[in-house]
Amino acid sequence: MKVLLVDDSKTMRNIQKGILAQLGYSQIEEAADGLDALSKLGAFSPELLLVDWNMPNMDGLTFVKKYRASGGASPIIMVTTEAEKVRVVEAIKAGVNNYVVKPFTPDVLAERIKETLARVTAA
Amino acid sequence: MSDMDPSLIQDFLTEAGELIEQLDADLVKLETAEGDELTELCNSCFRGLHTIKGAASFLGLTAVTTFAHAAEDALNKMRKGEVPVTTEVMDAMLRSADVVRDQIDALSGGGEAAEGPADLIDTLHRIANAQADDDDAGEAAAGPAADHDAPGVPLELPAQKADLLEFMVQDLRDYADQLDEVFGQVANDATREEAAAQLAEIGDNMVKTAEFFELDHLSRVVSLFVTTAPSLNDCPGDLLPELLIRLQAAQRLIHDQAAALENQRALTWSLDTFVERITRLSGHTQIEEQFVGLHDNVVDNVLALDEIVKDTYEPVEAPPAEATADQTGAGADAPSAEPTPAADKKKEDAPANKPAVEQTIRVEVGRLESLLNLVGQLVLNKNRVLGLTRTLKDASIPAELNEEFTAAAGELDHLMGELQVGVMRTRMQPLAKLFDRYPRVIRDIARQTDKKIDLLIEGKDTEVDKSVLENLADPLVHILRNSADHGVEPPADRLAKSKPETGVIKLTAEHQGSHVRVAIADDGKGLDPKVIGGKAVERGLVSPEQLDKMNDSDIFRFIFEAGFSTAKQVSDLSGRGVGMDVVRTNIQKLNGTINIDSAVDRGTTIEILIPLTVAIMPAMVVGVGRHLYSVPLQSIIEIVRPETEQVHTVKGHQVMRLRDSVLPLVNMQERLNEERNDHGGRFAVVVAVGGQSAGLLVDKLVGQQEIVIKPLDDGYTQGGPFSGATIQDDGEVSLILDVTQLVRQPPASAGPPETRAA
Repeated sequence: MKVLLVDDSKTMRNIQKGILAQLGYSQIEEAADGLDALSKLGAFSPELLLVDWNMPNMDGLTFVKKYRASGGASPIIMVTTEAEKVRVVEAIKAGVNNYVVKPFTPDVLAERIKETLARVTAA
Repeated sequence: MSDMDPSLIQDFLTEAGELIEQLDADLVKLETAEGDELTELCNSCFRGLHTIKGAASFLGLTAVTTFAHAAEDALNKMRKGEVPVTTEVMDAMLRSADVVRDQIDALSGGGEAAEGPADLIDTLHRIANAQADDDDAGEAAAGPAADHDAPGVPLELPAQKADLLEFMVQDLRDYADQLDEVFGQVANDATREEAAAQLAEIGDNMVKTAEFFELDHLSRVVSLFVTTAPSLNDCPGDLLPELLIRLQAAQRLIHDQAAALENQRALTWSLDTFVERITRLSGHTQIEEQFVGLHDNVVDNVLALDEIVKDTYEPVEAPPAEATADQTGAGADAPSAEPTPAADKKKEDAPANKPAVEQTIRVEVGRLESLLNLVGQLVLNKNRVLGLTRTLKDASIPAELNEEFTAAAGELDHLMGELQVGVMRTRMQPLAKLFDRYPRVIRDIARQTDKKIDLLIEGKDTEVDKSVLENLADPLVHILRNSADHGVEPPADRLAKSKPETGVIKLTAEHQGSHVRVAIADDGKGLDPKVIGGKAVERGLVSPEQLDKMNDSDIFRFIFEAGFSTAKQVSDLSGRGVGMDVVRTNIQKLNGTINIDSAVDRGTTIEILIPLTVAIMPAMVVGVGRHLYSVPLQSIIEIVRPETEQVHTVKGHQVMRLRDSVLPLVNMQERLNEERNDHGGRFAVVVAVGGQSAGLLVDKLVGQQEIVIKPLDDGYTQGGPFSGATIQDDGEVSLILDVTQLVRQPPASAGPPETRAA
């Protein structure tokens, strides 16, 4: 399973990477913002994306829109803060498949990932 | 998640406390309520518990979550009328409220919430499982999940998605409403192309939303908009009516689903025929001939024709969505049969139901005064106790007892200090309370005197003690009236002096060091020292010889003398020479000072400085030698670490280069007569007052703190550069540095150059 982590915080990416590793995902690519993520999509076709909302250069919402517009169909989990939660609806319309509110525990993120992938496999 | 933000937990505890109170009251009423009232009370109780449960689970408070969940299940049964409201059930519910309250109380007290009593949980489970055993729909379906008469199947969504459901319902409705317009435009040749694009976009958004909420049937319906849109442009005229009515049928299905979602239910339809026919039409092929036009332009007919709805409706026992695809689904009138509102709409419902949270309460001033009085007396008593501890030390009592007593007295002292601050704080009020009245005062004067005056107000958020506020009220009005009436000239005079026609009076307030500074500046005709001096001599306040020796600002002070007026005419507003006397008296009461600065034709500035007898301000606590000192934060520009090569001695004074300027340094160890040590001058706290700045060399930085200024008698400070004292957290006194003095007074001697940078 190839996973793309898009988050401007290295710490957050490391946390997520640790959780993904526990879940047995090893092919992980990281991007520091939306632009960076777009540039990595050519060489790396993720099967799951974890996208932070608030990032410099290009925010998560814009990235999701661009990714979907370019035909990217892999499931996206949006990582948001409690404050951004009401805006999640915007992200949903842009095409995110699930979201997780920071701060989350490893269990919660793991649960979300399983949930999201199960749904995609079922569909 | 035990390391949650404590403020979140605090918020939760406060809210939970309110909810429990409400719950308690509702439960009591519930026992005797009937009909609609009963339903509403049940709902209210349910929402309360549900909110507590939700928040508790977010905060990882397992004991609360588990118990609230059990209580909620039982209540849910009651709410649906599946369990009669018996005394036994009510006992259990009321006891449950008590348990949750105890849990919340325990948490508020810093403890752990105890598990709910097992027998009660058993009872709750028994209530919850009474009659039907199938109420197992899980978190997302909490609430009317088992509404067997409502259409559709219970929604099984992860909690975080269910949380957003209400937004989705709104969204779906908005889109469905937009479709009305879009369909209208599709029917019109001129607007069809644009409408088609819009339809595709709306469809795309809805598909994504439907996917997110795992509504497969809805997703299939709304996808039709996306697939159909491109075919609209060149759609043959005879097909268009068939297509359009089916799009409207799809819109109906969206509305139905939105309504069902409010009850946490997902609708399932048999869509095959419908989808097939729309797909054919999109491919510009007519549907089966016998059906053409049969719909009569009625959406309900399409729903029947395309076999979306069958005549009989059978409730569905929550099987997987796929399996029900062929079964019957929603009727055309989808709205639920039961008026039970959705339980998960806690965001919307819970706040509406509980009484509004009070952020402030109004308290009679008299009560605050008596509280303050009591605190004052307590302070005196505390001082007596402290005095006793010292006496006891000399007495021949066991050392241990003595020590314990001293410790208790110390604690009392500490707490007293906090109590005092707390009470004082309740008395702080923003100057806006006064300032907001003045625009009206000035406007009235301007109208009466045919002048044009603008009043500019700055710093009305500055907080002062209530007594300061009260004593400032009259003086400020007098000064403002004087400025407006005597200061600012009539428009014609101003124009003659080539000043703008409109005069400006500026009222500013700010905390300045340990003072509040209120200044009233006008750009009027100013005070003439000759006129005032002449009048003073005339009234025998001063001899001509004395007058000669006086400087202008001292001469201006004569205007504060009782009965002193230079106005040729006494007006209704001012000029009787009473006002300024009041100003002086009131300001003196507050231990304040008044300065007058004036220049003929340029205007007058009256500055009032009032010590903050009880003010709280942010300060940087620094260490010099063995003591801690506080530097008011507002005076601090920056803090730098001087390097050895940056520090120089010029004419016996230490200075350092700071970027492009030269900054005089004050060696605080020396200035404060502290013990010299090797850490001296590790940090330079750069302070500035009135354009002058200096770097205070201190040993260490302790941190920023809110400090309470306690005034100091000059006798204690021996003229040292202190503006007051404050009590540190540990009860130690720390002196507040008077930045003004430090900046203005050059260091007494250069001393050995302190260039030992750390």
